[in-house]
Amino acid sequence: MSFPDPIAVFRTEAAELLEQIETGLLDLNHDLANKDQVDAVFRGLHTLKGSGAMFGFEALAAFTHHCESAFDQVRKGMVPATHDLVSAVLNATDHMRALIEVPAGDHDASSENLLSALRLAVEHAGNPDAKAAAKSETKPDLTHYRLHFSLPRNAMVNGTNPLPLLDELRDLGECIVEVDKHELPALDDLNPRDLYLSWTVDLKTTQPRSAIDDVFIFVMDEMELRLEVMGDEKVAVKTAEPIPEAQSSQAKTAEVASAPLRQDHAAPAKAVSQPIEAKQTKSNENVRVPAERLDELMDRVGELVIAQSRLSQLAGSSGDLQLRAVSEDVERLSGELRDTMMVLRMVPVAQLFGRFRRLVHDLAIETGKTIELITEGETTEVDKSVVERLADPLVHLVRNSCDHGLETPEERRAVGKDPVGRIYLSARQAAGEVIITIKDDGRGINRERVRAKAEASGIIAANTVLADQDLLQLIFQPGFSTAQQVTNLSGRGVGMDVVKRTIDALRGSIDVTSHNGSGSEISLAIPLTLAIIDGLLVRIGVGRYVIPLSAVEECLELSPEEDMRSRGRSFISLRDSLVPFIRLRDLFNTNTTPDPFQKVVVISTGAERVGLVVDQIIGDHQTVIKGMSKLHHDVATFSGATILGDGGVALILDVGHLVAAGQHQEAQLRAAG
Amino acid sequence: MSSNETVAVLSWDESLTLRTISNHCDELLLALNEKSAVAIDISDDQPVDLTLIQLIESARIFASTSGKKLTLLKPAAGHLRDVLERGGFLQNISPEDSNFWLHDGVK
Amino acid sequence: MTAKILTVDDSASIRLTTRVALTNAGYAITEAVDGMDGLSKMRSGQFDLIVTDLNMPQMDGLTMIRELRKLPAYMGVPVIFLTTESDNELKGQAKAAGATGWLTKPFDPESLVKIVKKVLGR
Repeated sequence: MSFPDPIAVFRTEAAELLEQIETGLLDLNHDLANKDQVDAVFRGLHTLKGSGAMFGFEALAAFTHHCESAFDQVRKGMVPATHDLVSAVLNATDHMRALIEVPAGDHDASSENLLSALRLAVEHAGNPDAKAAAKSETKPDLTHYRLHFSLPRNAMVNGTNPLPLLDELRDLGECIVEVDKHELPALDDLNPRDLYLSWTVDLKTTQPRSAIDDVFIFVMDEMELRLEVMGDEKVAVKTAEPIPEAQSSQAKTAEVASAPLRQDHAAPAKAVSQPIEAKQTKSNENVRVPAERLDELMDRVGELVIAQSRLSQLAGSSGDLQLRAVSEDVERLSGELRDTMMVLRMVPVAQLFGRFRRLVHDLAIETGKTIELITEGETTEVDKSVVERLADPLVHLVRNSCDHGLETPEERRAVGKDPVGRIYLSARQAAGEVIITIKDDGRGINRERVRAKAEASGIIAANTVLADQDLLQLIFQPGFSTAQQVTNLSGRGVGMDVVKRTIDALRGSIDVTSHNGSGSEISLAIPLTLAIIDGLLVRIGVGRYVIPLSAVEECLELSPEEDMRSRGRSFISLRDSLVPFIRLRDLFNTNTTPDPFQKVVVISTGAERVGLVVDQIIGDHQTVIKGMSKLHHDVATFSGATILGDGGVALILDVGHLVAAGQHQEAQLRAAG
Repeated sequence: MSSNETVAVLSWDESLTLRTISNHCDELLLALNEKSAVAIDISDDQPVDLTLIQLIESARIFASTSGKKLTLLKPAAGHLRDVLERGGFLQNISPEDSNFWLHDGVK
Repeated sequence: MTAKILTVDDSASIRLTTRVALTNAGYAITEAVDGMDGLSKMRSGQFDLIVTDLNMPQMDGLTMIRELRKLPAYMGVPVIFLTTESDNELKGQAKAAGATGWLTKPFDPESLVKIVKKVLGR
């Protein structure tokens, strides 16, 4: 068994911790009073420091220590959380990354800068609230609690020894422990391993109530614990001060605290643990596997699928029934293996969405807008490679929304909108596709300006009649930008065409809706999995090609008569509607005589259809997509290649491109005719 | 029973914890059923936990309701004394309990 | 006397982290790779504390905890399992199986040692 490199283990873990810390900080920035986020950030920093020191990342541990201390003060209520403080620590996280990547590098100067910013933020946070600062200087109040607790009968069998618990209570302050034996039965009824004793504890402590909860943390759900506050007793120095305020706060404490601990403890704990819960699900209880190994496995599965289809062909043409039976078994198993493999490759889009919180935070600062990012459906799972490739397009879309979509707070107020602009990022699965939607409540896309811009840059001819969707889609054309001025963010008209290119490459589609004044919505529909598709294997001339089955609507026969009739035309009539079609024999210049009975495969992308004329339909084919080499990157007609059962190669037709070509051809013919 | 007037001394010179407490429970119950008086000798330096104290307290209830006499051969010391203290058995201790565990007080 | 701890986890990296942290804190560590291995090591030697993962091949943590509680030598021996904050249901199951406490992953060495000290007592 290979032993993992501890440094590598630490790096992976640290990356996750940093992500967790950043998420916590960003959440905290929205809700500075959120104690749970303060705790979460503190815990993250604390863990990072501890693990760092353990694995020899001394500089990281020392640096992180300062951030941890700052948050410790926030946690203890000595310093309030402020936006400045959060930003200072947020900036520090980038530095922590550097310290993890290059521990030996020269980081002193930037460390010092960041730390002085942090110190300043802590000071500023501490100062305006003079009362809080003063409070931290006075001695904390001594609270007198009376606890009654009993543990479950089987507590001791299950390893909970009451004695250490009592010791822990004693460590909290002045403590008187008295046992209660009244539930103890006589010897003939005694189960000697059960616990019958319970305890009454008088505790005078300066520690918070949570310290008592911590003692019982592992048995809290099964035990009975009553906790009364016997009244605060100020430390001698403070008793002299006649502050009426103190009395009222004392009464309040007593009122809250005298409720049974279980009730007032359990409810908030449940409520607050939810956000943490959701985040934790992402990374926990997982076996970490390097991505390359997953890809290797994917390749093996792909090869198996290919070998299996070869076996199926052989078995199909042989009369050997036993061979056929085995072949069918192998087919079923490799199908199942493929499905399992697919699931393995699925990762939640949360990974992807996570990074946008930081982006939006930075964008808000850069643009001076107030922006709230709302994410939804983070648990939606998508193929790993899809997530990776979606990152860039989504960055462009989110940037575009922040930069062009949302108005400034003043503009929003002027039109009666909430000054806080919102961007919604959501993901959901629908019928073999994952739909990722970026929505903003900004000004919407200005159609006039889109048209003017498109005409000016020669993308469309002046006064071209366009459907609304087509008009909106123009924003994805290369060289298009409606920004009045080039900004740092959305750039110079590069970006949005990248979106279209990437989504096309993913065999996905883009849908744009926009309402003037109330925002726009861009939906990306992407097939769930990429690496293996079900395809229709066809022959054109001597070459074989694969058409993704998901795009195939139907297959028709093209009789020689019809073929003759339709020469020079580019439409076939399909149940009262004309469908443009492409003779692939012509497109590929096969220079062979057509089969007497050619077939038309009707494919569609959403509302648009096109017929592809092929020589022969060979049948269903499960296809492992191999990317085209860089050399062939410009070949738009094909989206990849695959190896066939007999070892031959088939090219995979790019449906989106062909449909677009068909529609283009239709438009030209219409214009001509 | 025939041996009703006899006294049994149980010498427990071993670890007296949860793991083995059932054996001691059986032994003690048997002794209390058979004898009119039982004295337990507990080693000062063997590990002891709450199950032992529960056992003895439970046996005291049994003894008092069945008219038997149960005593410790010597006052609690060492680990036993320690567990009594940590477990809050000595806080507000009644004269009877004090007499039983620590052999002090009257009666 | 040095307390003996058995750590049961199929992840070599978690075992490593645990071993380093607990050895530094002065405990004697034995490792097992899954529930089966864990039980067989428990039968061949006495441990004062078990730290175990729940998701493991061969025999998962819940089954192992149930089985070890049947061994007279492991009645009352504290068992800490590693879990996630989100797994409240699992926590309940593990407690019902006989676990003593838990530690939330990811954990730092310090909190592991703290929990171990807490359940082992003085």
